[in-house]
Amino acid sequence: MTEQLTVRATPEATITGAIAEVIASLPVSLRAGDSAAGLVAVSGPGWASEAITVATGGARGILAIDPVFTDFPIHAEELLGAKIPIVVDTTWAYNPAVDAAASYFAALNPADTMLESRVETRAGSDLARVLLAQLALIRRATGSAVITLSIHRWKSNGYTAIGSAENGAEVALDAILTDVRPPSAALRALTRQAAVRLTVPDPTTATCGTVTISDQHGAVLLPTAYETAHRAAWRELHRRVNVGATTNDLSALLADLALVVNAS
Amino acid sequence: MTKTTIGVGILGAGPVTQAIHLPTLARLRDVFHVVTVMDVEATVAESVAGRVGASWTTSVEDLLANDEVDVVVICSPHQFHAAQVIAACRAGKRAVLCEKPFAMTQKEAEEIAAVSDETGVPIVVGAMHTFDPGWATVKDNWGDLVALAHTIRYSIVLPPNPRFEDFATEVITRPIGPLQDRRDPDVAAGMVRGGIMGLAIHDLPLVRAFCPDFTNLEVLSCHVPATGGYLVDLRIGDKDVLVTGVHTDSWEPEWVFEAIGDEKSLRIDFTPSYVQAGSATAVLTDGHEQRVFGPHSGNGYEGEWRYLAGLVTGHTAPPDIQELIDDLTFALDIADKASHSVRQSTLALKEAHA
Repeated sequence: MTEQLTVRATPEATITGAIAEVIASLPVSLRAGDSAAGLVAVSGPGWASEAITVATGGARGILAIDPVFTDFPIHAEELLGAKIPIVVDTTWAYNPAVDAAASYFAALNPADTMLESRVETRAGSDLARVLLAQLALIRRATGSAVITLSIHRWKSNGYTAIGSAENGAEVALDAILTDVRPPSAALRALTRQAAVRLTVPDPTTATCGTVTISDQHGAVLLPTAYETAHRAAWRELHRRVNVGATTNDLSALLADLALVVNAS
Repeated sequence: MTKTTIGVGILGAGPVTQAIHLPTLARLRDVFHVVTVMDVEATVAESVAGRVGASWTTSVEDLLANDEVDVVVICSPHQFHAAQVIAACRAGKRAVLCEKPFAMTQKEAEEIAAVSDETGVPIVVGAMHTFDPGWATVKDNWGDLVALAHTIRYSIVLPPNPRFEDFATEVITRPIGPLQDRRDPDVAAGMVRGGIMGLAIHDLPLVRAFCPDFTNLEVLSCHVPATGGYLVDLRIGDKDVLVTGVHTDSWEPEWVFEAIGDEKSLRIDFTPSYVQAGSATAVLTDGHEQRVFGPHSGNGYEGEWRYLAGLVTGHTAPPDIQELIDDLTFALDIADKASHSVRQSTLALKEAHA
């Protein structure tokens, strides 16, 4: 039987994480709690120190929503030592389409693969956060982190970059900041023989992400799921608490942060 | 018996003639008829000409001397284009359609312009998407998009041409491309130059339409992907431009042109080359409102031939030769700078691994 866990959120996390909507859509697994809640959502400046406070205060799991990195490096070591699961809920990575695509990305020979990722997001967005969310998407979808990155354009309306993934695949990234289209992310792997194409929609809606696998014989659209990345991230946190597993989301965020700082 | 339709002479009878122009002309039988087909391979010339009941020759001069040929279409290898365009103009033909690029150097382009001006023979470059009804209709309706767009993305994912040619016709001869090692700086530079002048050039006139300051051009990066092709990141004036072409044996083609501003954007999905699959579909987004243009039943190939007919009958104004020269200058500038960039980066990589 599913254990129901209580949830509380910092004021900023309440807004950015659409907490009430998520709890309403997972009423058996989650319910709103008070200061002693088992699961805590943190976000915004100071999220890392807040996370340390709740981790040492008896929380069973933490959801870090779209974390900025102002105080993260200072607290990284302490947070990485936490014995509870900490899920990092960035813009795209936990969309269920990403998990659905993962085995298909992994099946391609990385030496023959070009990974191309395109993000469109709101004008005025913080470019470093946009890039961190894009790196998290690539890591989760392909199972391989981007480890080298050369940024060729970095300006108010977007960026472009070329790099390589841990598995050897070459990576081309770009982002465009615009208000004319809903935010979205796309990641495709192209080889001579096959392609995997992932699209991730606006994270504030439950619009479906899509995964299309194509080769010489045709193209297949995988079954779609009407679930926001936020809801899927909470499910993941709940599952990990239940099975007693931690995550490597924080170490991944720290590595991506170092990459972004060194590249920009 | 004298035919009342416009007579066409074709120089070069390879896949472009077989899979593009002959099927298109078959849709326009009330306007054109093929008089003669020239190819250096006599068997190819005879076979292709036989499909449309035309005469054949292996001689450019014979074709140009034929008075029944009103319009010359040049589908020969790129290096012959300029000389053949000039010869066709001097032969007093009524119009010339030359596959892109119509020249390979700025000097050739200027010579062509001078001859076209001197002889009064109009020249059309076969950049089919500039004649695509989807492009043409959205262009008439996009308002201030050129000023507002800050980013241009032009992306092609291209399965092998036979995938499309074989639906357009039964091709009897095809060039075979050698396998190439992109780790060699000269090879990488050649791949990029070939990709720009052979593939990207299709829509570079569209890119230029969004880049009024097109001579102020900088290549930020250029890369040959593992699949073959090119990734070129450009700053053109104050516009950010990404030009991507990827070769694949996979099934799914993509040919997308996008112009994106903060509050207005355009996306055009083009149908594949070769096939008679109608026009592009253009989506113009302004705020939260979208307008869709196309698809129309005719594609850009049909558009360029209808334009030629208008030139011959005097119903259409001739193209501005300076625009064609500017298109070529723009393409050559990108090809030169992108191939230089990739040569340098590949060389640096090679030296780092030595």
